[in-house]
Amino acid sequence: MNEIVVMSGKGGTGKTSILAALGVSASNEAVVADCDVDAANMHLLYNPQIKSSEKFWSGKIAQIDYDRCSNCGTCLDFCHFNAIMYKSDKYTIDEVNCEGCSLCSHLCPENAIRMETQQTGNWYISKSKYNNWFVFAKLGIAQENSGKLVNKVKHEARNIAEKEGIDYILIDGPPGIGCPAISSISGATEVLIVTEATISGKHDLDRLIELINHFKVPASCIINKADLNLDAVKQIEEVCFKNNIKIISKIPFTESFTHALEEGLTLAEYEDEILKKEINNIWQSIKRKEE
Amino acid sequence: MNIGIVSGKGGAGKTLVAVNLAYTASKYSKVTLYDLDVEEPNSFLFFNEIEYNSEKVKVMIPSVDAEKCNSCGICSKVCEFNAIINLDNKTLVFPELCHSCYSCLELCPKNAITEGVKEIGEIRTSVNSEISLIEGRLSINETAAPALIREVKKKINGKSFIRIFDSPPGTSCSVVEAIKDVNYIVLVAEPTIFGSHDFRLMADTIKSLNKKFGVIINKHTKENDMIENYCLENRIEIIGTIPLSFDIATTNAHGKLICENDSYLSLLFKNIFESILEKSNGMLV
Repeated sequence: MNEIVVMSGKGGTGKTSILAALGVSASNEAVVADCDVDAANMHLLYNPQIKSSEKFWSGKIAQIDYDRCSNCGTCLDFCHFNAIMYKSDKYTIDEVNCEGCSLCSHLCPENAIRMETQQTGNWYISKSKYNNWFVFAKLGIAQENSGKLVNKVKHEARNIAEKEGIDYILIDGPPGIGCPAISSISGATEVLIVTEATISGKHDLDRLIELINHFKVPASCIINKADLNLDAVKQIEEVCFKNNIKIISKIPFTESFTHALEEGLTLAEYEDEILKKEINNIWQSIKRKEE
Repeated sequence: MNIGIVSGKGGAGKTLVAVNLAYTASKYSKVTLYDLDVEEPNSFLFFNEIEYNSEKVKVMIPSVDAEKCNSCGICSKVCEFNAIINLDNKTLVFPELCHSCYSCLELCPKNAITEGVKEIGEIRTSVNSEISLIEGRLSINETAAPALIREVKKKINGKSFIRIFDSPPGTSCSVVEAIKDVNYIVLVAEPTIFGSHDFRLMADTIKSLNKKFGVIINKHTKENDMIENYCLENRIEIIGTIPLSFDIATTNAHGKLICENDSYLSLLFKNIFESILEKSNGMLV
């Protein structure tokens, strides 16, 4: 099975637009998974018919039982996250700060603190209007554990691919290089980088390549907005060459990305013929390589 | 006063707004710009060849004394993050999963666990620059972004009356850590279906934190008013709009400030800054 994850380091490089279009080219040859769970967007284009949905429970928050609390303050003394406040003669939990570590609950001499598991999101298995299986999730606002939800989405995508005998999983990864990015990359057979020709794009690409090298996953690269800064293009080419990353496409800055989205279309359907052809070429080159 | 810059969607223009706003604000008062997008910090790139000091940020991870440890397994039972496990009569620590909560250390009946350290990133502090800059930079393959953000915010670089926080994208724990103690939030929105979806999530996040905020629409076109309409319906104030333009994109792509040599954009940022001061009842001194 080929598990291809699209990553960008910097946000807004066109990662999701490109992956959504590749998913259309692939149609039923690929399961598509949206692992950018913090700000999931692909479902806005894919018009998914939900087949099943489940709640995602993860992370805990402390709750104080005031019938038992003796106001001793042990919880406040030991909390390392500033999550216990003392206000009007009462200890209270700051739910934003609470890390869910349970230390207060273990140390409370009156057994007055209970840990409650939170529903932090939902995940969905669906069929997209392009005839592929599409797995996505929504993390609740201001929630933690997005890495675990990413794992859940990938796990479900793999299950479907296996069951249905589908060779490809296309994954939209999150921006950045932290917890959800690490979860997205682990287990992938290839990373498809979408970077942009800006100094920020290049800077973030360097850090992403370090992460990819750490996981020893082969990678290829698309340079988007390739006419914005030609020096940046040159630097991107150099760093890719050094790291054995093939540049498979360069796409100029074009308002087609914005206009396609305005009309609710992927780049594989929008009336920009050059871009449409380029997307198909990228998908064909991914397939050739894996074969 | 503390101003947070957020966006929800990545690439909407947070850093663009943060660096240009910091530059504009520095004409009025002393400013420190904090880059809290620690996974991909970019703000320094917009201030030429800046000199900086660097210091490593370390957090506590458990260190197990094998002689005292009797492999009772209590540490692995109390750890909510699976960061310490007991296997074949040996206690193993997984530093990348540890949240530094001290539970194992406090609850070990044999006192076999003491404070160890792991490095999670660095803080860079500018030297001799017009605007003071402080940046957090997460180490590669490290997940403790919120812990690093906490440390960066504590840092002070000279006297400044205005602190601007460039935040990470998304709406999860890192963003909340970045903005939970600001006085005013600038929400940068991009008028595409992706952008407006993430914008609404971010607006809800800010409301859940009970913060005052205003919106800057970036990459604005006349044809598209989805963000404007939403703001109107929900009584959210728009404090500025930046047009979609190849020229702006190019200037920004080269790491240049868009408000520096352009009278329209310089006035735009001046107006944005003044309206932030007014809305937040902020004081310059």
